[in-house]
Amino acid sequence: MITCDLRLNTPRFASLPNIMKAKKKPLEVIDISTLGIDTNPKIKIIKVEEPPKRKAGIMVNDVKELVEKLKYEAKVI
Amino acid sequence: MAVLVIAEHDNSVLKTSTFNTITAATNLSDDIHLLIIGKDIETLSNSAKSIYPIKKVLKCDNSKLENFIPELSAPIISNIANGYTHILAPASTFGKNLLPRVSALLDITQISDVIEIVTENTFVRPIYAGNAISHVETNQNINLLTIRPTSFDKCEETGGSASIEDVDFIDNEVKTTFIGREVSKSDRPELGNARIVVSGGRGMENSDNFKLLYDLADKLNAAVGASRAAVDAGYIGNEYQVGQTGKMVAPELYIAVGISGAIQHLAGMKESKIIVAINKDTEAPIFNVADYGLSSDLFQAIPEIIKELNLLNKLES
Repeated sequence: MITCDLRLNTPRFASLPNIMKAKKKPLEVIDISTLGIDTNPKIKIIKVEEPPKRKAGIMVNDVKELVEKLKYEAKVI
Repeated sequence: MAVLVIAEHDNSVLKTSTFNTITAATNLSDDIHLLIIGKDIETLSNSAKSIYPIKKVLKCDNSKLENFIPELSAPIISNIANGYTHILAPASTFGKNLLPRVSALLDITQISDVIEIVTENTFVRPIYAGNAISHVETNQNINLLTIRPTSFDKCEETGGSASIEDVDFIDNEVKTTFIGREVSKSDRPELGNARIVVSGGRGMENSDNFKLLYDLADKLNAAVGASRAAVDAGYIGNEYQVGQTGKMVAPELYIAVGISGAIQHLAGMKESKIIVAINKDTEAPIFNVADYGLSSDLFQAIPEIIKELNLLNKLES
């Protein structure tokens, strides 16, 4: 089995005649109980919540203000 | 019961992600063991003994393990798994390559990308590219977790005195052989753990213009990143992509230049402490998550920022 990088190639869409042909192919259904595997989920989702929202900050007017804010307000540079 | 952490390393030093994963493990147990699998790892294993939370260092040293082929590493882990309640690895390419194999060998459901450990059997992980947070519970005897390194601090690297033990190398014949490795060399900090990241998007227009960002990054001692749009357009290599399919980063300062802020990109950087967005388009969604937004043409703004930074440096010196 290989996993692909998303830029590996450009996939093509199936053409309409091929989609029609595919519909005629036999479809075999396998009963999962005949495979002898345990399909009981081993994890349970207790809850799903929204991630904490990041508050939008402020717009600065020019580069000078931006650099000053980073230097003296956020103190990250 | 003990908890096992799988070390990510390069046969000479541990990667930062290992220290983040150890911190996650401290939420589960005081008895934390670190497993180091590699070649000529004597020195590395000995230095790992002093990592504060580690009680025991396990090493598997074999010349065949030099290149971390996961088919060889997975049985070594599954062989000792029964002594542990939890096995943790970083949710990096390394961990994502290895832990699913261990999980298959043990027939256990892996829990991926854990961002918070609530109790020893309840974990929090993002789903839908971080648009929702899922709390999951398990009742398995052994839990396999990959840990998102940016969600946990680094642990204390010194002050400990762990014992050291060898674990068996399982000499299975595998169908994978290592051929070679091409490493992109860069003098800038590594994207995953840089204090500052400067990222460019489609707005950069071409690869030559990325030179502007390199100049800014060098001024700030920052790593360079990119959005998927910029990588797709061929402006910059794959390894620079920040986002859902790229790297997850959480630096102190993230500067997004010419990036509109698609949800997949935000998933990879919205944990950053301070976000700066520079974009011509005032409607760009990146401004919704930015602490400081500058609506301006980046080709004017970036050289100006570099100039301002030079001025500041001069003032200080």
